[in-house]
Amino acid sequence: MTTYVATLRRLIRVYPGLAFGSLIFGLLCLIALCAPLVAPMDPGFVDVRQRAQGPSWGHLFGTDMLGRDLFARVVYGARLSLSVGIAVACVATVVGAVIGLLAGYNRAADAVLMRIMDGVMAIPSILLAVALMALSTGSVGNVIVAISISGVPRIARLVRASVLSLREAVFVEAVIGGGVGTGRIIFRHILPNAAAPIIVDATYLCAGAMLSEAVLCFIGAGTPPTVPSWGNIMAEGRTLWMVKPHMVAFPALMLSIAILSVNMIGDGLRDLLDPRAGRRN
Amino acid sequence: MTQDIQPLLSVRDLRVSLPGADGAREILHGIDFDLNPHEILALVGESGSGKSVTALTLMGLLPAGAAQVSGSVRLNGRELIGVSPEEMRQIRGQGMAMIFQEPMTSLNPLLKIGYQLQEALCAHADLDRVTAREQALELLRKVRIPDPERRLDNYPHHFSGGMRQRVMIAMALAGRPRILIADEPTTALDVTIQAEILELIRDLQREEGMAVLFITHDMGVVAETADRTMVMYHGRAVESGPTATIFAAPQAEYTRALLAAVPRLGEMGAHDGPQRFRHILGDTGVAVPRQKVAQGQPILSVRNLVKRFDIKSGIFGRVSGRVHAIDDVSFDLMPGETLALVGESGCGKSTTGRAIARLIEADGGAVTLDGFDALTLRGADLRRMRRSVQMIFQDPYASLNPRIRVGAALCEAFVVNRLGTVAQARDKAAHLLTRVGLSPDVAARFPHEFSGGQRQRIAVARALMLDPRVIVADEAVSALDVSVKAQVSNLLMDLQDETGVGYLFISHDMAVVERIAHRVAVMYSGRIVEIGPRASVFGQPSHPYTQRLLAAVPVPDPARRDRPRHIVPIQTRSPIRAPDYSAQPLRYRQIAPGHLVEETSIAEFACV
Repeated sequence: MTTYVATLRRLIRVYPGLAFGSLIFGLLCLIALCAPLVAPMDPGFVDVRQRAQGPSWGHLFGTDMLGRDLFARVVYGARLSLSVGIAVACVATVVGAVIGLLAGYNRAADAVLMRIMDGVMAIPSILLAVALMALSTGSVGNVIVAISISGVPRIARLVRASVLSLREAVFVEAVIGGGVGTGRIIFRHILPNAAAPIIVDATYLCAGAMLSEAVLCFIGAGTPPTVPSWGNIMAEGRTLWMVKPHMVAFPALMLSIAILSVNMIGDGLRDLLDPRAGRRN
Repeated sequence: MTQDIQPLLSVRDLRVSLPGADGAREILHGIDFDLNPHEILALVGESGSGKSVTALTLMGLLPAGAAQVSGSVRLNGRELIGVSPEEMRQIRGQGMAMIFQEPMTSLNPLLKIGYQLQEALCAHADLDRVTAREQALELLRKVRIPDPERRLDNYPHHFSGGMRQRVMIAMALAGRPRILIADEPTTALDVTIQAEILELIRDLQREEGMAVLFITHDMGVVAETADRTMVMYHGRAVESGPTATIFAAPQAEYTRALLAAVPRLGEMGAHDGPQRFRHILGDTGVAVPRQKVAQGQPILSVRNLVKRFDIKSGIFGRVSGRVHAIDDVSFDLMPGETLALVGESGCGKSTTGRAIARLIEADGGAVTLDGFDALTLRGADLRRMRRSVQMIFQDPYASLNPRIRVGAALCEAFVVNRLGTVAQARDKAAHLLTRVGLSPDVAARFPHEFSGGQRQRIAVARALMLDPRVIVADEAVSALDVSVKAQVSNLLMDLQDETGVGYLFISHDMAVVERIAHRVAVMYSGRIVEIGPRASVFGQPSHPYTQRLLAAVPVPDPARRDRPRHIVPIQTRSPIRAPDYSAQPLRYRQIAPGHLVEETSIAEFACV
């Protein structure tokens, strides 16, 4: 047990950014998970008498145009933003890794898959997500899929590049010479050695996805307005933001903090996992 | 012999600490030496002995701030420790110049050779362009680069490794240095090229009146070049003196061990069959009687093996030429026999090994391995065949997956091939680890916790896990320090006696080959030009290329330094041919029992 504490202490000392980012992100996740405890008020409760109030003890973040409690809405909105961010990072990484592995190991698959990936990359990611959302209904699942699609090529290219160099590695040849099958070589020998940059890129994807989700909701192409999200809270507040800046400022602040913390985790992981950083162990 | 002369460079109690994982670690523990004018001093030692750190300290090239240096370095009486970076820059080049091991990466690939030389010249003198160019030409002539006028406008990629090292030497000479520091300048080069470069350095030292500090791990190179030698071990000088004295009567225990481990070409004489290296710290411990090679059915039989690589050009990928990597290679390997495949880089010896292990696909010919037709198998049969032939690779740092524990790496192929249960695999791994001289406990550790020699032992154990009939050892001991090299070579020979495995021993190191091989095949430009019993091939080399190769091997005996050698630089035959080229069939002539010499290629050497 003490060794874990010691390791943790050293990690905090050597990678303060990683520790701080993880702490903030962990807190945000905790708040989102325990939303009903943190904000006992119903985020959908409309109180017309309390419209567009500034921050007060009754309403920490003030209220919106319909008199809903902004603090509750922002806290519940964290659920959506964080889950979309994490889900997109997972979906895009898994799909991208599979495509990248196939492309890296099979020339024919490489030619077809990577051209498709190039095509996807050529379209600006927000535009692609908006177009996909226009073709489907506004549900959380569809938002995740729409944003993931534009994140897949990035991971796929990264994995393909790692596979191409690792499959020529001497230790892989040694394993091939031992009569070990291709599947085992890929998943036991190649993927773990390519994991570090993939994990780092996944964190950046997560940050980007939270931003994209906010943009989609802001322009009304995201989740239905009944589900509070940082994007649609800002969208609802934007007509009044010159006179009531708190309606935009609080969700925007939360979004910034969330993205910053994820990016700090990503930078920290890159330093931690990159052998060239020379600070390992 | 030069006691009364004022030394050019005088080093006293030099201590260097570099930052390590847990604070500063002292790398050099007080080094003293003098370098006299017109003298070649060799610093010799194994990896980690501090010889390169010494050179970098002298040049002031250690990372600023991180390294702590104390002691005294005097160049012509002037103290160098503690001078400003600007003063040090002036001293570098004019006082001392340095050449490095890796000629392939020490030149800027985007700039012409002439420009890089002129830049070095202009750093030390105010020259106009015409004079600078003339002096650059003069430098290229000095390092004996043919056709210097044309070569001046070439880029580094137009030059071979040996030629690049000549250019590097020319650049080092640009500032007319008093001292040339050469850090392993020939280690990355082929043996014939090495001989040329060593001769060049000796000639230049005489012509220019320089002193040379020659850093190397190779006792043969020391014997060929140095006037005086200092032997280093773990940051200390264990012995220093005239080279002849050190070789004839080594005082320190370590020097004796080092010299005992040095393979000497020719010391086996007419002795038949392989012999273990003498024990490192023992007395003689010479020949353990070894089993005779079994006669009868060969375990590996290669017939007319061919491998070509297409060179594609143009946007449609038209085949514009083919590299004939292996041409018509045939040989047999008996159980318990070691066949050495020797030759210089690019001769196709590694390609041959990889084609036999099916790591690349051959384009023609037949390989019969333990009864399998090894070139046509697919799928599960191929995987079964792979068990019979295992490889040991050159780089012990690259051949183990850094993220997998040693035990798991050893057991993996055994378990995947369903040769037994996991428990049986662990038992066998533990047994083999003991057999290669490691503790069975190391199975729980990761590869990065081991030294190069230990990793190579692990690689040997891994190869043996599947009870192979043939092991392809591709430069398996070439990257190891000399004492470790001897140990691993002995290990390979012992294992052969126990298991009867056949080795295809691919190497460029003739002296190791002489120890370990029953038979030798010399490859040149993709073809076997001479093959036969070791004693016969080394005793009476009959192909001109074999003679060249053997003459170039450095002899670790200073007394024989001035033996006549006839190493004429030749233009190596290019293995690139037109797509429709069909190779001439090779003709072999038997000159002794089992000793064959290829005849058609002799003509290529006739003109030089």
